[in-house]
Amino acid sequence: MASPKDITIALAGNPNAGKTSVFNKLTGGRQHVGNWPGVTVEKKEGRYEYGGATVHVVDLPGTYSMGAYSLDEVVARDFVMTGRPDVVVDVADASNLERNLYLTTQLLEMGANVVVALNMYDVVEKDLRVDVAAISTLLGVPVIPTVGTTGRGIAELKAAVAAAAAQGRTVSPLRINYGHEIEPHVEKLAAELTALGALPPGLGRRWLALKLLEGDDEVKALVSETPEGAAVADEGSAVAEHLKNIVGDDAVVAVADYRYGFIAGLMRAVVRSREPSPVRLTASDKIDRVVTNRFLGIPIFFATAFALFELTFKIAEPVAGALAWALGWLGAQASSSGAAAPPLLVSFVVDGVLGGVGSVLVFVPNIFFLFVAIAVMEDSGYMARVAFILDEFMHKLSLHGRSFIPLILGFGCNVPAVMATRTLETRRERMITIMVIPLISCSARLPIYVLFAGAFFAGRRGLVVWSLYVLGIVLATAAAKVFSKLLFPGESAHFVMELPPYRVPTLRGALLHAWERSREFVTRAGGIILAASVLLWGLANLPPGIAYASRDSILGKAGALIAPAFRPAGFGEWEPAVALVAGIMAKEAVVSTLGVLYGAGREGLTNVLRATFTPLSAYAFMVMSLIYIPCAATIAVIRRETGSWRWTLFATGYTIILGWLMATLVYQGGRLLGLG
Amino acid sequence: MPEIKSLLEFDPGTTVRVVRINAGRGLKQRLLSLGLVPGADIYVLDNRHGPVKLCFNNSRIALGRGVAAKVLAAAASDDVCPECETDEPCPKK
Repeated sequence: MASPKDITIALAGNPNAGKTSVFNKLTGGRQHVGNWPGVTVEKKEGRYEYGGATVHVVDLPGTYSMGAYSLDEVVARDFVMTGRPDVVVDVADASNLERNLYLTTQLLEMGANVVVALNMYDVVEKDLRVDVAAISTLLGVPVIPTVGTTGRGIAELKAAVAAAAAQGRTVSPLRINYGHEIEPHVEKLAAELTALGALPPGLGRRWLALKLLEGDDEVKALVSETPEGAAVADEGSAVAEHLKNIVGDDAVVAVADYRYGFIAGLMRAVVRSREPSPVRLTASDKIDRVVTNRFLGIPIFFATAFALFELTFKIAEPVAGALAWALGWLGAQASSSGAAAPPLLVSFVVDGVLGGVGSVLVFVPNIFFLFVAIAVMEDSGYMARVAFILDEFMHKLSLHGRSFIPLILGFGCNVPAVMATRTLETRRERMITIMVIPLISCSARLPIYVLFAGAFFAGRRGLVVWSLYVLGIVLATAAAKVFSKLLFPGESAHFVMELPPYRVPTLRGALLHAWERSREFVTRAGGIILAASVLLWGLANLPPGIAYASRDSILGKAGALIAPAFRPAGFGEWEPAVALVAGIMAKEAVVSTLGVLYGAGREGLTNVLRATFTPLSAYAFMVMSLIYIPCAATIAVIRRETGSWRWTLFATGYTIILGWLMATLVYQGGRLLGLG
Repeated sequence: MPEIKSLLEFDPGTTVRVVRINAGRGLKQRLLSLGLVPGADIYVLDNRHGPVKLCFNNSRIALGRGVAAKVLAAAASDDVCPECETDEPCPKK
């Protein structure tokens, strides 16, 4: 059957303009999340059927402009420039039209085939009366009023997209007059660029000329690469210098000024009634007065975070428990039905494969519910306030206020914490945050502390456990400081952030977000974790015929081999070394492995430990357990999110060294103080 | 001629007119794209601690103190927030 041509559309728009809800309404929430090639910016794709054709929807990162300020902007711009989508749907917030049109004008100048979705139309309908038809006429493109949250206008939007795609771009790119100082240069450069011929067709020549005048390095490179383009690019730079002398500021400023001038003119023509509405402090401002209050802000945040955490784990724990039970049952079934099979094979299936699948799946409930909580915080607008109140503190660590959220998530589980760094704008911020997250003591490390603190510090258990959490925070803080100085020198990201009005988040949106993150974890990190699990199983059970993780297993031998290295830290026996290696799978495995190795249950284990460790070496062992190597799942997501094995190795390596150093410091220092 | 000073030096509750942005191209472009252009009137909502909270173009924008220090402005005549289209002063903290 001959079908109409499939098309690709891109969704562009400001952050907080409701792009996500429009995307979800267009695609019905069916989406695929990946990365833009070569960068760590998230790429979301979906599709829908219209008129017998498939429409591929690419969600561009939310941006305020088509400049090159952030990675997000570069990615969005490159896709419009070189990906040449058939249609660019510009999702513009109708309640904030001036600023949103700033992006629209740039898309039009770029020569994109634009359809404007005038989103959140319900907000302006009431007070400001916007003449939609007039906007459409003045911009020369279709403008469709939409309400992303309810789905209003989505059918019309799909129709407009199909029509625009069928028609192709017919109108010439928007022409804004940039005044007598700049305009002649734009014209001249645009003409020369047109003469070059080798540039992507359909890409607005005037826009390219403007970018040259603004000193945009990417566009300069693009032009320079074409035959004879270098001369034009150089001319652009020379004119930019010349303009700077005349205008007294970068051309960027003058260009923005004219662009806003054009928008202001447009606004006068399209906003019919401008009776000053009796505006007072908005509800959001009233909430902000409390929530971002100097004294109340931080306590409110901690209370909120604590409540969300509690709730998350309260819900996630039974689900994880049920999953573990189901896998246990499956394992038992496999063991009994495979009674005739060689025991090693049964063990491989039950302990290696099923165990590995289990260690992937037990993370899922935590990840799912934590991301529901994050989505609620993000969609309600509260997340921006959190960044606001914590920026001053985070700035001292050379980090951005936004980095705080991933760090605090780390206390629950490092895996979603690493995934949550995607909200950070710059690569520098993301990398530093990811690198220090493993030092934040996750909930899986708690069983180790509980066991050892219970055995050795019965009266001061709480204090000892608390001290380990504090140590993690102190080290993470110090590491952030050091990394930002040594590995990522340069200024920390500028804090420039919109505080969107508070909104009631939609449950559907939150669940969709959480589902996507969970699925991603399973499909993308699951493989590495499973492989690590099978490998560890092999080390513990081979050569054939030995008892699990015994002295004769490869793991046992390896443990014996590395054990002397821990002598300075006070635990040089092979059993703790093996337990630490097994803990790479999941930190709570340290406890269960010690149980297996000492052949003792919970009660007996306490006694055996008391015979093997001193309180001082026990504390050193806890310090080591806190710091050394992120678990396999965390390593897997670090690899995913950084896109680099080198950084993954670095995170693994520095934590081993730091862990060993700190444990040794504690043990030797304690002995000097006569605590041993 | 009103005195030109950085945004950090204005009290909450004043309307100021942006005069100049003393920042690198990237940051400058980001601020411009938000509507913080020379000549724009903006209302200082909060400027006591932490980021400076501004009100213009019908939205609330927070600038870190380092960023706010780079935006030079002069006091505008009246203390209302024209961009928010209020006929009474913006919410004062």
